[in-house]
Amino acid sequence: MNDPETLLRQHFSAVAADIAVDVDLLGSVDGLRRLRRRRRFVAGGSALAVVMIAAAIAVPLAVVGHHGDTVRVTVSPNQLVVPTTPPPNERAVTWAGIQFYVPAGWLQPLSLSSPCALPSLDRGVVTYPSDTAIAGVGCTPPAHPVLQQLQFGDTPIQYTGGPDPVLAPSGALCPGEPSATPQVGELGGLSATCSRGWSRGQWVTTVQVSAVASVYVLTTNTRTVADSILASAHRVSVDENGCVVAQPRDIKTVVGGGSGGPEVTGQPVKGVVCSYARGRLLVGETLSATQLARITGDLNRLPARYTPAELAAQKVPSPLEGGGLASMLLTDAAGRTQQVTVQGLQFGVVPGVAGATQSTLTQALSADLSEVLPTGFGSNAYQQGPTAQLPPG
Amino acid sequence: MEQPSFEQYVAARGPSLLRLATLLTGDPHGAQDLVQTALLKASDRWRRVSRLDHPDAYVRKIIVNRFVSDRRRKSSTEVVTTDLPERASDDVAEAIGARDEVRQLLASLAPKQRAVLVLRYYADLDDGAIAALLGCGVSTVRSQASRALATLRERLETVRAEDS
Repeated sequence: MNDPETLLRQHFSAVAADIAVDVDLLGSVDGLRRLRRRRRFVAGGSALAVVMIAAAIAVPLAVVGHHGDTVRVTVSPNQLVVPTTPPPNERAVTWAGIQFYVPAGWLQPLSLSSPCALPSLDRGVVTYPSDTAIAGVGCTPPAHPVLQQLQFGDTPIQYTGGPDPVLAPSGALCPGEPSATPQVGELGGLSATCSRGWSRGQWVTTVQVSAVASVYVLTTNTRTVADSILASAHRVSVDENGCVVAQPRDIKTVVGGGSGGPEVTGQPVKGVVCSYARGRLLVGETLSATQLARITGDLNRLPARYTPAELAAQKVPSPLEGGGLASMLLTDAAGRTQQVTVQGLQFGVVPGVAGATQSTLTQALSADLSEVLPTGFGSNAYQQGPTAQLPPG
Repeated sequence: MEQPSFEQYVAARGPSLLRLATLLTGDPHGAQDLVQTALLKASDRWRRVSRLDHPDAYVRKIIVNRFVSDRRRKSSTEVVTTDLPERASDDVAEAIGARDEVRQLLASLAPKQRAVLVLRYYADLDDGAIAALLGCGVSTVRSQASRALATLRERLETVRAEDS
């Protein structure tokens, strides 16, 4: 076994056999192609705008220079970037004053609900017709950098400011008719905003629960999975002490073959990282499926000491006291759940994980988390504030 | 002979390309990105690519080159650790641990060395074909392979010694 050549052949052959290949490559390539087309279109529009604005300035100057008749050229930049013909099967909506097109399928079974100027998403949201279902797409407060942009199809729309959209009790929104309570959607009695979008080759489903400032983001490769998650997001519940994300059942991501081999077959389907300081959410960061797979791969090597029910009974140290605390709840395909707390720059694991393996996990997690946590995480409030107690290990 | 359409090609060869990319990157998601990008590029020139004797070689070349150049770019942000995780005790866990061990050893190699090993020991390409894919000479392929194997051998011995 010490012969590297033999070892490599065996390794490659074993790993290759486990690699999941049921990936919609054609769909992904098509998505990338459309994204590129749109980027080129926008770039072309911008270039054209520059040329026309320059012409608008230069031509009159030239005319004045020749002491001839004045020529007036009127250019509206908006006219240059708004496509005149919608692509087939796409529906025009506007956001922040910009018109763009959304695949018609995107709005089903969602319905646009705004008496102001249909079809328009300006200061509005897409809502489910059903009372019990969650809402579709909304903008997000600037406090969440992750959520400052909307994704429609493969078009990211940057939120450019202005008041957050507020849904009137009737389910519609008009500028000038703000409602005191956002009613974008409801998850376990808490208001929430959910969205699903296409970003960098992956479907991104986002559930934001504003009452406890928690953010739940999942990326998958298939729209079906994203749809299923969105549809089952009402099972998400949030504990006042932290983030508890319920397992969306009947969902399995198509991404397979994680770093650890067969033990990650089935793949984690959810992940959430929230960080708090003095009751305020400082950072809400997302974990990609890859990062989840890697971290869960590490967790899978540990003995499962806690059943999900037992773990659910564990109290996460209150983020409302002390300096800062990030908590992460991970569940693998087998239903094993582990709560991982991150404090400052140190990592701790909830009781039930043997001390011997804890160091390995800590080491693995510190490498993993350094990639997923934003720059500056663990600094400032975390280091300056009083220290929150980790659970006894 | 009728040239395959792009869709037919992806349906037939996509899985194989994904396996190759996964072994190169060690990461299924990175592999998907790699393959998608390569296919996108190939689709732009599909009429010409489909007339080649081996369209696969063209796509594989994009994948491998992209992998090497991407890794070079990312090398300043990724830290490879030589510390291996503790090994579990039961058989399954041991097999997984061993596999993970090899994966980590491979990840510690330079991207070009890793590519050479994957192409030689997984794709079963000869050194000439590997050289053509990587755009370098046969002697370079041999020296890269030799260095990579020597590194692996040395690290394996270290790991085994620590275990015993």
